[in-house]
Amino acid sequence: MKGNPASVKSKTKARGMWAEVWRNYRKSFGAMLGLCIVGAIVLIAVAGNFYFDYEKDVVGQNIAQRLQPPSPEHWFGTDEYGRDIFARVVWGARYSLSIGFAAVLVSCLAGVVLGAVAGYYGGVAETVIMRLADIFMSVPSILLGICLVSAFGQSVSMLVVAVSIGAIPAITRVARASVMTVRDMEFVEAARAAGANDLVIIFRHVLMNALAPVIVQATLRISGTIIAIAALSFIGLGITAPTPEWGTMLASARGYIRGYSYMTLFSGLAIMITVMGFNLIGDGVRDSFDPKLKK
Amino acid sequence: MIRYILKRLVMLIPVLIGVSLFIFLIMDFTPGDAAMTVLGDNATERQLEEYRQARGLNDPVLVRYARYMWGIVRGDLGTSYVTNRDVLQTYLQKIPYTLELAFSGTFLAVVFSISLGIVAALRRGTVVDSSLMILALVGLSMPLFWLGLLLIICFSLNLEWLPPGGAEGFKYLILPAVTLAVAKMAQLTRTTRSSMLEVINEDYIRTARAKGVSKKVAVRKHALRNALIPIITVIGIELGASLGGSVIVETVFAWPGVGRLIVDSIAKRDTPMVTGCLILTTMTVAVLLLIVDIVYAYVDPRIKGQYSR
Repeated sequence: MKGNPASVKSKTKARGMWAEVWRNYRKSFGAMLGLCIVGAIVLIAVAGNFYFDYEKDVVGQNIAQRLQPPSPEHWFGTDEYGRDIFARVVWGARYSLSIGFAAVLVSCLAGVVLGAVAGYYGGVAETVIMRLADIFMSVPSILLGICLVSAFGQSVSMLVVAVSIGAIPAITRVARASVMTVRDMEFVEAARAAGANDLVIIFRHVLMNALAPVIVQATLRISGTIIAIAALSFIGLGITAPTPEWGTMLASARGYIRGYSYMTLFSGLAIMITVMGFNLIGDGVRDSFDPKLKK
Repeated sequence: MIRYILKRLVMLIPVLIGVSLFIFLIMDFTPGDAAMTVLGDNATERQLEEYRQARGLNDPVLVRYARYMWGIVRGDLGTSYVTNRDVLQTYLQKIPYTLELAFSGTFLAVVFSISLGIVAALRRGTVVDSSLMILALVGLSMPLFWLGLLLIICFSLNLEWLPPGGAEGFKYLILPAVTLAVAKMAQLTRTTRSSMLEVINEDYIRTARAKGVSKKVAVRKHALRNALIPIITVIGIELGASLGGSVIVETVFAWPGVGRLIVDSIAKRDTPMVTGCLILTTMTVAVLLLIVDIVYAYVDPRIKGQYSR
């Protein structure tokens, strides 16, 4: 008696949002390719950790081997201090990935909290937050980042703040718009009637149902964030040499483009492939949250 | 319409005040000050102190900010701590370079990407479409500074066709403009394609075709005009971004524009120069976005109706 209706029920059970998104995502070749690219880069970054010794292979200088073009011993050649560029490019993946994720996470957290407060409460809080967002949005984000880094000093955590701050206003706007569509729905009213306090309502009931656009926005932004990190490092305000960040490597390779142009090739290629992977994932996530948009 | 424009301009004032206050405060946190930068390491403590006194650098930050804003109200953006030259004049000297680069880059991108986007949309699902979209993805994923370096290696060092940097004539503009155009082209081609796909199957296109309108005219007059709003939005955003944010391209190609001026001034702790340039840049970008909104009205009569309300 009990088993029968249950099995019927599970057959007709609607898929949850995440299962539905994954089902859509899986169908897109580009999106899966992006996932493979990023997965491979993560694997390479982890493997590099065991294969190369940081002090010896990545930053250790070997002047006798300097400026060697690519060869079987040094796949990507060596740089001006005789360091193996392959080891440095592999090691560099960890910086771009970890700082990129950290920055997107920071901008999401800040943007979601601000956007939720603005969207849920409205009134003065909304005016203040949204006008601040306008102010931050009107300054070109790379210049904002440059100002912040030079004011508070060069460090990894400052770099995270510098690249995330440009994205916060955009995420705040998306989160606010999304929260506003949810806040007046009946289940929110029900939660309020049941005596839930504001924090519970915002975080459990409203945000959980308003998060999709934020997730889409955040995944679309990872690639831009990775480029911004490399760009700041390229103009000398991000991660400093000898740390093998890709942008930093390009900056030092720039002095050797005459005659040693192979040095510029690989770190740039690494940035491009990584960014492409995240772009594919971003497009895929956007399309799978809203299949109507997909053409 | 005029009331709408005036309203937008008035709304710009608090934003500019916010921007200037924010930049002023940040620059205040920056270690080292103008006295040390200008007088160098050999200056005695007394010389430093005299310099600070003369320029009021010892006053609290809000006093300095108030003084600065009072100057702006009278049209005086201050003088550089470092070069002693008028900020506005220095900016006006550099902005033509930035404008030249931004407009030529955007122009190149618009010319190519709108036609490419239309082709991709019309041949949706074919080899042409997918190769264009793959190219766009590559363009979108390329960091500008790397692309710039590759172009220098190819066209300046190997082929020796074009100069690698500087700004002394048309030849010097080509490489930076192309670099700037590539990323914009990628974005704009994608936007044009998806925007065209939205409208291409609409009933009014079919009606136009059924009435005997040629395919060319149906695409150009009926589809493109309706697909134009998102395209114009992206053009505006891209143009605005390159007015303020072409720092990277300007650095790679030693292009003497505003972006490099700002970066150099930040390095020298030249607060009036940084603040002034950022305020002017913000203003330029905001006015540009306003122009974009006005253009909407001419493209789409429905939007014009909203403005006049």
